[in-house]
Amino acid sequence: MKSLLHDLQKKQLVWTAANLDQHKERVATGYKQLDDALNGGFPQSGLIHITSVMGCGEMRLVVPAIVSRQRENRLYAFIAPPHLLNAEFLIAQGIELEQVLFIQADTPEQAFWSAEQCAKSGACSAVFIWQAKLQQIQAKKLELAALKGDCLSFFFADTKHQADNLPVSLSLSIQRKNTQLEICVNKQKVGWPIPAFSVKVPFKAKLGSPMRYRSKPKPAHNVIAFNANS
Amino acid sequence: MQFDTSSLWIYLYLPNLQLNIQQAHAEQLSTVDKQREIQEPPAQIIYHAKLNQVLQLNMQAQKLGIKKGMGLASASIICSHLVVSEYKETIAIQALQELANQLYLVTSDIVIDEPCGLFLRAQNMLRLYGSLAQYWQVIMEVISKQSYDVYYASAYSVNVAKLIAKHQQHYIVDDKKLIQKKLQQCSLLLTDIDKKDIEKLQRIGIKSIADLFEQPLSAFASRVSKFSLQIMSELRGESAAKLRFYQPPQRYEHYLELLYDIELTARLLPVIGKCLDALEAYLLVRNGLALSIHITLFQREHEPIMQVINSALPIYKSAHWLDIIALRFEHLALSSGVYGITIECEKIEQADGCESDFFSEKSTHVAAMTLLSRLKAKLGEQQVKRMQYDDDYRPERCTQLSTKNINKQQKNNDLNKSHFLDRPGFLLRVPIPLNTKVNIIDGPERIASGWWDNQEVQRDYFLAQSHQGQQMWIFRTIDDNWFVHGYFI
Repeated sequence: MKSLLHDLQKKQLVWTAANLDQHKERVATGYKQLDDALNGGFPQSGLIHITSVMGCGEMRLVVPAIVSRQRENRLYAFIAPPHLLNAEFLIAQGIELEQVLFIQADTPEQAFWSAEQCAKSGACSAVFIWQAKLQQIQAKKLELAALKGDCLSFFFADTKHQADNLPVSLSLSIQRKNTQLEICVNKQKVGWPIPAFSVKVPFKAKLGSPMRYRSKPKPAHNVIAFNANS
Repeated sequence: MQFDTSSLWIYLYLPNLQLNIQQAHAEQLSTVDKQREIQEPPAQIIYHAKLNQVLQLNMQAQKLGIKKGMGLASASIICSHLVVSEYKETIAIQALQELANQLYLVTSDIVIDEPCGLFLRAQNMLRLYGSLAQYWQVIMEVISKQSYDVYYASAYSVNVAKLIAKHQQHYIVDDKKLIQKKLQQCSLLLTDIDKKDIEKLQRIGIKSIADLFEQPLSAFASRVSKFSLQIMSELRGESAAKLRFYQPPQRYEHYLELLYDIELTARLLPVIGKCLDALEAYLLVRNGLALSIHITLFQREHEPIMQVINSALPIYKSAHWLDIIALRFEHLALSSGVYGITIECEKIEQADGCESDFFSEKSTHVAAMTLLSRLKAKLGEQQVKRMQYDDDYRPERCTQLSTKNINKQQKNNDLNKSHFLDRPGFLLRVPIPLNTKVNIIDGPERIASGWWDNQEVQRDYFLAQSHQGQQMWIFRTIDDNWFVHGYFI
């Protein structure tokens, strides 16, 4: 019996509370309810599985966290997104385009391979992968790659195809109810599953006269406004 | 280039280059094919078809009585199982260039004397190495790596060194008197002097080098050609030879002929690894790095396959190159066996000293560049893209994808460019007609633009939400058609 447990531990299939230390530091998500539910935020690294209908605000939910943990010009890898990524959206979210890597893949295997390479290279701070389905073994590989490369990987999947028993650090289901996002924590490494709660993911501005929201170029640091002292 | 007559020169005479190369190949084959019994190698000659002469021959052929200059008929009468190969000057010249390349690392001034010799100027190297003996030891170490038959001699004149070496000598001294003595024993026939002129000289009683020295040069001036006169004056040490020094090529090129055909790419990789080791050694001594290498695989029955392997970061290590090449070769299908591989490197980058400190961003940069090389090798150049933002009101024009790396200047521009706040994360490549029921959250926002470049756009955009909770960016055209253009992810 002991040797069986030993074997499982060797294959990294068993998580024990002794590993709690590595989960002490969390990445704040920027949403209070979510932080509370996740013991302080997203894990520092690992694979996060997000189940949602495409276009309900799933990216806007996670982007503040990855922008806050960005350092040393590491890359954001977007792998095989179902549609074109919009550069304007990324800029508005505070992501520098210089650090964006856009990878197209012909087959799911290629996409998976790219995601694993990006995650474990140590050059990427976040990897986003859109796939219909991920196998157990692939998810495990991605999880280990992300841990190795100190990278947060996000796997976005539609509800229909993906079974929810993947070996990931965190698994969330998201559903939009009018202005609120209903989030359900299916699985997390340092806590229990949590029933649905609501988080508001608002738009940044109300539409109206669009010129008003064109942000002005940032002033250079050496320019001081004339009435700075008053 | 012209040099004074007091420099010490060494001449390396390699008369049997082609034969040596072929013997080395045969030996390699026999070591690979261990089942074959070790036999006495057969008598082998290199034969020049046009001159109908035996040019090079091995020990076995010599024992049988074959001599240089024999015709093919007489040689084959002496030995019935003679191995005959045709003489090709290019083989010898290529071997000389390779040897010069290797020698270039230990000595500076090399002249290739086609088709079977090398001049080395020893004089200016003596100070570096201390003495002629030490210098020669270093040179010999390089030469002895190849199993060539080599004869050599040193002298204070180019032609004297060559003449002594051609007498199949191993003679390295720097004493002028000894060299002069040695020269006196040499035969006139082996000098570079025109054959006709030698005949003329013999008619007037000049039969040896010693005779040549007894008469003043002016005595021969009207009898022999200008070329022969020049050589005679050089032999006497009265004028200097004109030589062109060897310059190693700036590009790297290496051809490897395989001992047997290889049909599987997986088998090919260790062989390529060997070639890359040579490239690594080449780059290492030159403090160089390579950004891209060309690999040509010569197939037995099909056109050669040419592959350009790029790396995003200049590298030299063979393991790193092999890593990228292995990914590229996964897709490569060989139509028939590969018999030869060429590895070329057109441009060699200079490796600069590491400017930034160890703990700064550099490590991430290296990791990112390595990642890019790997991804591009496996997926193809077109599949990995960087993004740029173009300041345009038309949403489909904002995002520019390119395969090139973005430079710093553009980066700053991106930061300064103004942008709208709420734009969808996903844009459809082609807007699709709206056919689900949606609630409009916000809008309209009119975009009317592009009248100046015939890509006119007039649309009223709305933020909308479907019953499944999808937030969409929809627009209405002037003729009241509704389309979906993006999703707010």
